[in-house]
Amino acid sequence: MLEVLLNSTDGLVRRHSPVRGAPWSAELWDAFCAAGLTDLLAHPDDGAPGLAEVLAVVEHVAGQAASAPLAEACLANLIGREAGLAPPTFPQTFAIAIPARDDIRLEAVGGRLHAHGTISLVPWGRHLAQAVLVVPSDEGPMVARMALADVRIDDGENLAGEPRDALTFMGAPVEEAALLHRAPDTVRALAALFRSAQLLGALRRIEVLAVEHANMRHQFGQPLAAFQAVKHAVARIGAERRLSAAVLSRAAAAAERDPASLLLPIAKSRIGEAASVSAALAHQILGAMGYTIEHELQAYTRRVWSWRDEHGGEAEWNAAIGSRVCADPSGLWAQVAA
Amino acid sequence: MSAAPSMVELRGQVRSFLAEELDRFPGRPDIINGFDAAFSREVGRRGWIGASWPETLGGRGWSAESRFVILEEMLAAGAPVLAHMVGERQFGPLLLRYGTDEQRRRFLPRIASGEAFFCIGMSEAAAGSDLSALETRASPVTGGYRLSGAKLWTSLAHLADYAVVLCRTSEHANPREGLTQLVVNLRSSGVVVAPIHNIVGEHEFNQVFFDDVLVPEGDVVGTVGEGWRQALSELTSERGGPDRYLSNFPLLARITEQLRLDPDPRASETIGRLVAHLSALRSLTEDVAVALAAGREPSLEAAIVKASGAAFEQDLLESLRPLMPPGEDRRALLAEATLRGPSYSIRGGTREVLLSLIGDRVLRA
Repeated sequence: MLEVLLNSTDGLVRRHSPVRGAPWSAELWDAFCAAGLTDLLAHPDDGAPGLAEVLAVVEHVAGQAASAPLAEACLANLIGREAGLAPPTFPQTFAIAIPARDDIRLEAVGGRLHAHGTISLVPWGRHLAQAVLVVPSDEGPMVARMALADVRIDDGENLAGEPRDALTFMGAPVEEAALLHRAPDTVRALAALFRSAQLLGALRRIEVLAVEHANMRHQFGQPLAAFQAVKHAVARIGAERRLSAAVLSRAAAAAERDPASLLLPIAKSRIGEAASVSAALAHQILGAMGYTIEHELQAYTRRVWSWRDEHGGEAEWNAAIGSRVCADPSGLWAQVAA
Repeated sequence: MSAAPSMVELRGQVRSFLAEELDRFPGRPDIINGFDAAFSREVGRRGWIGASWPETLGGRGWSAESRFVILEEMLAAGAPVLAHMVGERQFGPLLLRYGTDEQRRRFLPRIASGEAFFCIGMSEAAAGSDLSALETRASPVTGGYRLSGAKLWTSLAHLADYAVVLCRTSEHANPREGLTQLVVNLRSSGVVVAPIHNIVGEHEFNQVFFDDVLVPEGDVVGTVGEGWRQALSELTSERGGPDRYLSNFPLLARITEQLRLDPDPRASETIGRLVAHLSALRSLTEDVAVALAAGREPSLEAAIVKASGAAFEQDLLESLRPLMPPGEDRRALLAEATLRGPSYSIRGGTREVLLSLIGDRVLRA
């Protein structure tokens, strides 16, 4: 099942996204939608792919620098479904309002909820017709499906050029809304888990590019790989990627059992750090060639430099993990080996 | 035959045993921290050494994860496991893979009961990172071999019963050929163990001299001349376990405990980062345990556990240092651990050797 899904995304990316890492391809997105990828996690059928499988797909697509809000569509489906929203009719993007940054609120007027204010950094907001947003209301955090046709959109982008747009609502009615069915912290942790999977996908490709270059490029009469300093840099990239894969598999399994599991923040922190280390080392190995906009490497390094900070960077999650383990009277080991 | 406990049950059993009884086993700090024969016998009595080995050989026939769970619970609690660790971690698996039935019957039940302790005879004066430069030789005689030479940096040789010695049994242009593994009774005539004190002031490692020591034919491990290949596979079990990153965990746990009421943001961030690193190491190590049990040889992953585990041990010490104001008890905790710091990236394969091994494998992948 998973194998079939991964192979089909390979074909779609090859056919519909000839330029690696272009920030948007409507053709690729249409192909993803037609293939049903944007419906993943929308229906709780027994035979449907579970969270771990969907994360594998998201990781795989990120490993091809395929620019599309697939992670967001899946998150929107899952969080919307949990809250009891009807299944989506259009592919949706997904964003979480951060009260310290975003002033968006839902307010009840005449028995219907309306959105007021701005939510920033909405992935591909300008390209999609609908969004599932986690936003504050008088009743507490709510999950709201919003139409994006009549909203003010201020274009923004991350370091990789991926759209991260600010949406300003001026009293637009929600299409549908419900109270959030999980602790607000765990929504962010789940979104972080999707970014962790994307980071791992990019790390896999970064490792391949570093290995190929170290083996093929000759200087001083021998391949770069023959120099111990270069070999050790490749070793660190390989080690970080394997440690990342191991911790992500645990986090993906934990997320289905316990949305509040410490492993979700742990994966984002650890894989974010792995991404920082590996992107820097890969650029060093590839030298001037890898530093050009023509080279494929930047399609991945610019993404990991963005993704590592999205939905919480290492410092934020480390502080959260640290204060949680310090406060828990069961002791550190009981929490690490839960 | 008893049914295997679930991993959750087993973890709970080991955890309560340690909570209730660890105080009875203070170790022998006068000899070497972490070595306590009585503790190892008690653990053996409970069936927690070599638990994944066949029942006919002293084990319980449990899964590979069971050993991982038992060992990591012990290490996290700071239990004195050194006496039985080498036998369980390396020699037992070596015999299961390459030993004769007679050797398995002779050694494995005594390792599993915590009654036979082993040390590793690999490094020599001229063979540190370059193990193939070793010069200890064994010559065939009637009934076995005569062993001569000296091993160096042999941890716990003064407390162990046997050394697993890698030696040269024939001469070849390629120094990796002609090597053989022997299990040598350290009470044999001609064996002298001389202490070397480390910078902590402990007597942990030794130089072990072999002067024409008679090693019976039945104590050759595996195939004569295949010692290099066998030792490499042994290194996979040596390198890929939780002992490679949990040495300082009790320190981290105590500091986390002391910070409970006032973790400032810097302390939280430091502890959180260490927990994230620890979790990733645990995950990969569990993968190694499962792969080993399935008969695979995850030597790349094991080397990563070792190299990254050593980096974690050292990073932990340096990261905790700013959280400990001078003059407080916490600082005393850190002092001895700091002196052990350099050892992690040297023993069991230096960081440089491991990174080269990892690099070679990643470059070929």
